[in-house]
Amino acid sequence: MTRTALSFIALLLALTGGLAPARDDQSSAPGRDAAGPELVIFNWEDYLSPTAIRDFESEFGARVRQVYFETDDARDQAMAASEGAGFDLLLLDNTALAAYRKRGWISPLDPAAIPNRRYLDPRWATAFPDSQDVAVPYLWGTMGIAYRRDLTGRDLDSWLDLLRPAPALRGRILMVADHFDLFAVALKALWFSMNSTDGAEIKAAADLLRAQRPAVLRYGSLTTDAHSELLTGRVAAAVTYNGDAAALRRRNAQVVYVIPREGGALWLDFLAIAAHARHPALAAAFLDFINRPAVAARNAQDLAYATANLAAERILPAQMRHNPLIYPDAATLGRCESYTQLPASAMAARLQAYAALMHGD
Amino acid sequence: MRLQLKLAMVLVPLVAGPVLALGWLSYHGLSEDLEEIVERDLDGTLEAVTAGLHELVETARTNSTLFAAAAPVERYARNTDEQERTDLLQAPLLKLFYQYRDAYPEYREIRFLRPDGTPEVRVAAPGLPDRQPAGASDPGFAAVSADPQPVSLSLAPHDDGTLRVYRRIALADNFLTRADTSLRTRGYLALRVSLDPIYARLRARPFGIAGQLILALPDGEVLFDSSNTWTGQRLPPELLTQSVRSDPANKRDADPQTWTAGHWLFKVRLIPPGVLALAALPEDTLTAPLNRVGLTTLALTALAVLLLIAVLGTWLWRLVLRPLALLRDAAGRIGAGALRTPIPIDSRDEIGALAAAVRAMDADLAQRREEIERLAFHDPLTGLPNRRLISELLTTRIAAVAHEGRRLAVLFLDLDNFKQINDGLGHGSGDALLLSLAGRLEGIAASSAAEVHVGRFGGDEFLIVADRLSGPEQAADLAQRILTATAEPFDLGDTQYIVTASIGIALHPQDASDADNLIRCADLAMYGAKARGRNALHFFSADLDSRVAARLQMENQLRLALMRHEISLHYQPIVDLKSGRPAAFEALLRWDSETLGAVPPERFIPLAEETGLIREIGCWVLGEVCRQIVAWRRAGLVTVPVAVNVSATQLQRDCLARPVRALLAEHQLSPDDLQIEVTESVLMEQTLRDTGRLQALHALGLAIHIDDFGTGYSSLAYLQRLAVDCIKIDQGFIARLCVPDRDATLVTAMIGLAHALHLHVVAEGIETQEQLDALRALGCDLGQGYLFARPAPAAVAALLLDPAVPA
Repeated sequence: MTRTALSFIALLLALTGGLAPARDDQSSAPGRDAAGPELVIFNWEDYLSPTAIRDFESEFGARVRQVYFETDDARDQAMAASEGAGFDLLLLDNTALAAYRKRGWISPLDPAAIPNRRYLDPRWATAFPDSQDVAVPYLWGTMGIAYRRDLTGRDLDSWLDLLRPAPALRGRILMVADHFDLFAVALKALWFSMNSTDGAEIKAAADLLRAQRPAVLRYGSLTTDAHSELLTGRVAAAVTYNGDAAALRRRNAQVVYVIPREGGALWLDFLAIAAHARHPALAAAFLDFINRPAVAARNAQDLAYATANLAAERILPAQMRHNPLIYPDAATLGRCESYTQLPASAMAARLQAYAALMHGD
Repeated sequence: MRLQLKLAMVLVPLVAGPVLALGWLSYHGLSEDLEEIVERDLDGTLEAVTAGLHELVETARTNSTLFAAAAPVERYARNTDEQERTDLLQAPLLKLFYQYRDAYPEYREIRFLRPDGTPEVRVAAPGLPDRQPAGASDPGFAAVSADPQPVSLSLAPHDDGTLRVYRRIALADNFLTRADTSLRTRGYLALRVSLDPIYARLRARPFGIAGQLILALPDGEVLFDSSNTWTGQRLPPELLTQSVRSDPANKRDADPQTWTAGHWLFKVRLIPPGVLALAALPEDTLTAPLNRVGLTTLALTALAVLLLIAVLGTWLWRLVLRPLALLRDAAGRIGAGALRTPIPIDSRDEIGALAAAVRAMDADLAQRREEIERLAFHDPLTGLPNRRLISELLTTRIAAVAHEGRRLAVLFLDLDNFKQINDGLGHGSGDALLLSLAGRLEGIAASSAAEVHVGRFGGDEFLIVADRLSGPEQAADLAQRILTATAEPFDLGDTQYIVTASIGIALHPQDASDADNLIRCADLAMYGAKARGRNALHFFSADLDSRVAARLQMENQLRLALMRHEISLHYQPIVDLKSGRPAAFEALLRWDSETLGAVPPERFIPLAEETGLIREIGCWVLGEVCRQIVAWRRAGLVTVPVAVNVSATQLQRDCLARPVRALLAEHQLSPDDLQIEVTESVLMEQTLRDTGRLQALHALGLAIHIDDFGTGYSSLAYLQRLAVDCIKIDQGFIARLCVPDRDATLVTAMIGLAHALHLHVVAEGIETQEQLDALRALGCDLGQGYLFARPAPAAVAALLLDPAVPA
């Protein structure tokens, strides 16, 4: 360990420099070592525990810099623009994996470099066999509705509560800004599969979304800090992921997260090493680090998401493990669909409709 | 009026002509200008369209190239893996396409086509239907893919008038090589470019007046119509054939055509990439201004002509025609004989000069006429009225006299020995004599009291008409004076000649009642005068003759009487009735003529008064009386006042106060010594002036007696005013005093009146004692008459005076 760490440090010292594109994060970890290598992670905001980062930085003598993307599309476009250069680690959803691999934007993993992989929940490996060699499952969760019970005045239980909102909700709805997820919401609201390839279904979903648009405050995602729009009350209901909802609920007990009866989406995020990573070994080390059960547990607790690391899951506090938000029951899970790879035409249909919707057409 | 017409006929063309010519010229010029402008306007519009289209096409061409070269497009095109392409590269591509659409809203649709033409990505304006047929089934696409040019543009029918732009995306396999020999078609970028920006610009462009611009496809489908009448329709085929026929390269084709309603001028141009541009202007943009010019010209011409006519009508009339008419009338009047007719023209121009000339002519004619008349009516030699005139005058006078009862006499004068003078001395001398005589006659006529007109009746005959005669005696007087004047010698050069005249006098209405007869009577009377021995007058009525002759004689004698001392004064006393003593004497005239004997005063005094001799006599009387008084005093007698009779004539003619004062002074007498007696009638006849003369005498201190009181009309006011001293009752009243029921009352009244007025009273003509007694009884103061004494010469009268007491 020590020898490896030392060699990594030396490597990092030799490979200082390099700026990453897109947004930068001023690392809040104190005692940053100016001379150490910098690990650039392309990630969602608030999707890595600062504690974990600090620990990693101090343990490995490296710096961690996160670059945030707000949507998958943004991520894809940034990647497309830079051909994957400038990052070391990438946070990917399962659908992006295949494409990124094909594109050559992520490089295969060396199993030996990430021994802590063994702590991962095997079902994920089963669910996504092709992911094994290129990415490490990270967190999983659901997509549903987070709303303010006190602002909505009643319990929401359907996607249509957002898509055909009551007058009180009009203008105070936040919708997800992702071509797949947005259509998932609309398709499921219509009791179609979110992975539908039927052109008519997609068109119906597109029409529903277009009709809803005047009532939407914006398309994007909620932040989980104190200024979050759901907390300030600017947004009364939003499409969001369970972890974000949980974090917000911690701040305000009126925040309710529900997976509508039509069903939600089940997602799994991976971490992968970018093909043009400057510090691939450090990146692998990070992957290994993050899968230490304690670290993973800490991470999961901080983020209020379910970890893909089984060992970590076991040492989570009971409260968390029994939190339906984070660990929904089987019935709820049964209502959720996982993301699958769509054929190009179905994707294209969604893409074009989504682009038109975003453009305001 | 005809003059105006003539002038109008000349001037109207002169005025109207230039205006019309000017109008025609401007019409013509304007027509040409307008045609040019129209053509330029049409050309301009077509140019604008061409330029706009060109710009749009070029921009689209360039943009297509730029779009195709964008990184997302290239990446997408390069990627052959559909899945990958869709998952990763499509979103950025879509975003890019949307950005393009935002930048160029006229790019209604942006597509990405596969190399075989199948559409893959589409970003389009909302609501734009996806109509493009795909792939090889699209005949248009076949041409595009075959075209070696990377960009192809076309305007297809039924495509909402959008330009279709295809940009082949051909990329080299290898990024880094510069040589593009291995380009492979990766796909196509297809744009559908709307022509709306051009339309907007064309709409904003001011396009003449009601002009029209139509853009259409060659098959007739209308893309744009500025007037919105053809939008959505097809152009009529005849129009299209027309335009197809015409050379698309700017051939002029602006014939008026019946197209929509009305006539139009249009120009057609086929603009690449295949737009038919039709610019049209309605024909009346040409014709309307021209018509305006034409109408304006005509209106101006009409106005000018009217103005001219109006001016002619008024000014010509005022300046020329009216004066001409006036002159014409004046000429007529002059011709008719109304000379010196007024001509109210006073303009300072040629007309005025003509008027002045006419006036001068008029004056000349008048003058000549007067002269002719004068000559016609007057004797050229003497200037006296000629026979005609004097005869007419006589006729007129007779007619006048008939109304007023005046007396008229005609004197026919014939020179006695004029023929000898004329023959002997020549006509020149004869004429001179006649002229001189005429002058004398005129002088007599002027100085006569009657109205006398002298006319030359013949060679040596003169006719004298005397009007307002007081009597035949005055006619005789006149004749006599004429005779005397005629008899005076005439100075003819060296010698003097004497001629005499014979005058015959005829009286109207006694002798004749009309002019001719009167003249004939006078003529006959003239011969009577000649028969008498010439240098004589002879009345037609014989008896008048002797009477007049006698009177003449007496008159002649009286004139000489004073000189011959034939006139003397007798004195009759006025006696105080109480005392019986004389209170005064009255001086009475006596004439003892050599030839006529003792002429009673009642005969010669009136004559004296008529002839005016009384004045001379009267003066002598005053002087004589003064001398007599002085003589009596010198003889040692106490004198009494002497009363002198003063006649009206004397008072009329002379102021006696001065000579009386002078006489009194001369003889050293006081005014008391003289008294004045005037008859009652004098009082009435006098004017205030004469009353003043009487007053003057009274102011001197002389007593005034009113003689013959009661026989005339007395004004009691006058009596008082004149401060008369005494009234003498007329002897007639005294004579009848004692006759019962006669004048006793009157006399009583007169005495009473006199006493009431504090006047003395003298009773005249007391002849009987009875009268005297009566008068005394009535209180009469004084008396005069044969009873006391007859008028006697001074020496006898002196016996009645008392001698003076020696001092």
